[in-house]
Amino acid sequence: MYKDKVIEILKEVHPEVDYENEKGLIDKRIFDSFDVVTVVGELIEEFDIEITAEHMIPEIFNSADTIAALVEQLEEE
Amino acid sequence: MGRIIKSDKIKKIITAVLKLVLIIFLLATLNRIFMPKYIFENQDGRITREYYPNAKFTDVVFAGPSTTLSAINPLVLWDYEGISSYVRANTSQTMWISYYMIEDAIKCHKPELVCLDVTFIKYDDNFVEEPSTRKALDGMRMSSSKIGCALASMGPDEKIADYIYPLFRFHSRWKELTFDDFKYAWYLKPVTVAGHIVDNEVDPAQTDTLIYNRGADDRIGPKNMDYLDKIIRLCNDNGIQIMLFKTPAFSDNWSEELDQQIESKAEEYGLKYINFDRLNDDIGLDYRYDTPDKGSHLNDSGASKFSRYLAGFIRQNYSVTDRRDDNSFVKHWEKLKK
Amino acid sequence: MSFISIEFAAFVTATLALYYIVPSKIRWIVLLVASYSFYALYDIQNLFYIIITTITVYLGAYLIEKIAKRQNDYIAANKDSLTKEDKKNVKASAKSKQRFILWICVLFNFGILIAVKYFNPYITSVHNLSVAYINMYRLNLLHNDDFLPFKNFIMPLGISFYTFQSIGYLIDIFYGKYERERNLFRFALYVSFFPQIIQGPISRFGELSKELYKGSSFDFVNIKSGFYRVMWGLFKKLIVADRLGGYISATMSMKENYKGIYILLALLFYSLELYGDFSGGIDVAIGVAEMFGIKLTENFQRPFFSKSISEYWQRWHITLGTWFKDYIFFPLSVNKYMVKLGKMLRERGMTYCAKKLPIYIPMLAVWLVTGMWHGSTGRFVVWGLCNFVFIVLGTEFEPISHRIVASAGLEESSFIVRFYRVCKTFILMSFLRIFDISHDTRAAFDGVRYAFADWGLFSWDKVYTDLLLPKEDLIVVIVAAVIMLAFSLIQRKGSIRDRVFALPTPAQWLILSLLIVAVSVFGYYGMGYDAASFIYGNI
Repeated sequence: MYKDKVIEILKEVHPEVDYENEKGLIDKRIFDSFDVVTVVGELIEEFDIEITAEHMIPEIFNSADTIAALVEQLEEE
Repeated sequence: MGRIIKSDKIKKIITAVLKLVLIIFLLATLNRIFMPKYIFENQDGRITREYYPNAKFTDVVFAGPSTTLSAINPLVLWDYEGISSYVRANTSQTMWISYYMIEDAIKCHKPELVCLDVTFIKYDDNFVEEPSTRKALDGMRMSSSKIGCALASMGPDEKIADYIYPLFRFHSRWKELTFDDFKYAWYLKPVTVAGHIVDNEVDPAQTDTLIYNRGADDRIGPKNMDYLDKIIRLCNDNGIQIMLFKTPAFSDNWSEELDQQIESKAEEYGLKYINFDRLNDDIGLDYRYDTPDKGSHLNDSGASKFSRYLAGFIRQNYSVTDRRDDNSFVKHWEKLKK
Repeated sequence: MSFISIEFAAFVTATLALYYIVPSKIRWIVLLVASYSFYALYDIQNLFYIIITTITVYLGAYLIEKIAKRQNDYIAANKDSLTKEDKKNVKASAKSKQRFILWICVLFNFGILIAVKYFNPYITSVHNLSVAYINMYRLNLLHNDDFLPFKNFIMPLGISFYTFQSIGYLIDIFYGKYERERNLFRFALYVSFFPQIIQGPISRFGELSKELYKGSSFDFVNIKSGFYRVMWGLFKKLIVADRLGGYISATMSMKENYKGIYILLALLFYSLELYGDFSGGIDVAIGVAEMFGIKLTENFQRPFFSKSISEYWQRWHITLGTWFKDYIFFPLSVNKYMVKLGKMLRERGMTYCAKKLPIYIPMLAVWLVTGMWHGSTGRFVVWGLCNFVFIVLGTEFEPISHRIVASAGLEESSFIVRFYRVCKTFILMSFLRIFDISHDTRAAFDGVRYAFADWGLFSWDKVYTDLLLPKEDLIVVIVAAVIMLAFSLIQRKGSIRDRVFALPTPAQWLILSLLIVAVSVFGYYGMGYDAASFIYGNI
């Protein structure tokens, strides 16, 4: 449920990527730090959640799945 | 089993002690390397250190400023009256330094008589002259007297740590260290004659009348007076005779009023106070020949005349043992003569 | 009580003894008492400020938590009747109350900081130059009271550091990052822990609290290791940094007469001085804490070997940088206005700007604040702006620079390229520091102009005599600075101390003795020795 929305946001920044399968958004330098900040801003706006600087780690932002997991976790709180 | 553990423990303690000794030795050596040696110049900086080997031969202790160390030649006192003395004086030695010098001397070897030169009492209570304090104190062995003396003498910028471990004060000498600083780190042949420094210069005084040019304000400051009191009481408490005197000097910041104040203090304790300027007819100092600096201090010839007179004066007025029959004393003074 | 004094050594020794004597459970109390004593010994008035901050932040955290709890209780009690939308509203209203409290605390405490820092009559009236020195980095060892009139300086000790540390804590509580500290006294220790109060590092509650209250049992290795760290800090500070202050201030105050290489040298020296002084002080702080078995965050990571300015700032005064990043830069850049701005630009097809501007604008704000943190006058703002411009340029030109390297047939990882980048960064950063050592912005620009004039007139003799850096001292500084930088390089391959401790005992002894001798002999402290003043002759 969250994943679709996340992918939608990601596509705004980099439309060319296959988010269903890509697991190295950060590691492969597809997203640079500017892109990540943009995405985080959009996520906060969209889901009304609180992402802080400590969440800004590659493990979370490497794939749409992990990002969606973070959103879900923060939504629950 | 028990024994093995025990011997292990002993071994551990021994190595710990050895380590500690080694550390202390290294730190002390480093300190000694950096302390000024006063090899040729400023030899007065060595008087305090050179006292200790002489301590057990010291029946009479002289304390005072540079006038004292230039005017009193203990060798003359020995030759004439068999008085065995040491001059614990230093440049600009204040009353409080003199107090702790005497205290330190009493701890080392109790003398029979203490002779205090009051010349320096005329200075302000706030007098601070760091280099002089260093020269007087750096040679002193570590004791409560040393700490007390440093605390009493320090200016506002000085730190007690610098006296406890002088390397903190002298470390910047690294630029000018010479081979001698290493060579003489631990031992330097004595240069003073029982605290007396020989000066052969002659620079005659300009006039032929004694000048006391002290200004109007000549109340002795409370700190100075307090230490005079303390010195007298220290000697009284230890059963040591004490003589208050002013070394002869031709031109001096001195005044009748100072004499009067010391006089009344001496009377309070039933002591003698002698201003030797007033006895010059008997002493016979001639300030055309007997001074190296226009009458402020005495040179070798002046010191000989004054010391000869002083020897007789002490013999007449105080009870001090004649040591000329004592072999160890004779040997000691023979050695000093060389 | 200065960090570098016998008194401080005695203070630490006494505190250590007490710390390890009392039971582990109450060791933190020893630290609290020691910290407050340290503070009071410095200036009793200081206590007032730190207590105010401690109490307000403690209360703020209490209220924030209370609101959160009430919200949770409410939701739990009405679990069945509330819709998802209702829950969201409850949460939002709680959050806005919490935010209100947070802002009150933040404004109040930063208000105090700004008031004492920027409206302090002493700071504005004393020589401007000294402000640069005093502001953040140095609080002790002033050889020349005339030049650095610290005696009149009434700014509460370490106020910037403990304010940042406490506010960081409160923001973390606001975000629910961890539970608040319920014991007021334990919290007071977190705010006031004495080794870090003078110049940092700025610790985070999550990390420091684990260390502070654990009451480590005595381990000689901690003492030994901490002692080495302290000595190394003294090495940097006393031998390198303090020896250079005279030359820098002399040259910069007479820069009309000493142009060209004199100024370049002053800039080079200032970089070394600042690093030696600041990182040396941090070493002392970390080393002292280590003796108590407390690990503090590192604040430097070989900054002089950075390959770009933004990297430099990730390796210099790290704890301040991450503080700004986490609590200012990040919240600003994901702020809804920034998101809207990005969206708007993207919709208009300006994808490039849409990507960069929402980052650069918060970054600009951070640099303005960083400039102000370093000093209250305009030149620090200019300095912050310059840093910002250089970082933006560096980021924008990065692809081009990579292309140039590639077209020259060089590898990015080759020594020559890395060397070039490191040198470039060092030179740029050193040059920017001219704002630090000039009276004002105009003087700084004059300095830049003068730096490129009259190169031919340079003479070492002038450096030795008129500019207060005698030849012998210069040699000592060079040797010590080389050692300092060389150790930085060696350190890259792991802790130097661990390697020293693996050596046979005699070698360890030798190293320790050399360190002690170097610091005590070649350290630039005390009244100096003037043989002439020892001459015999006065009465």
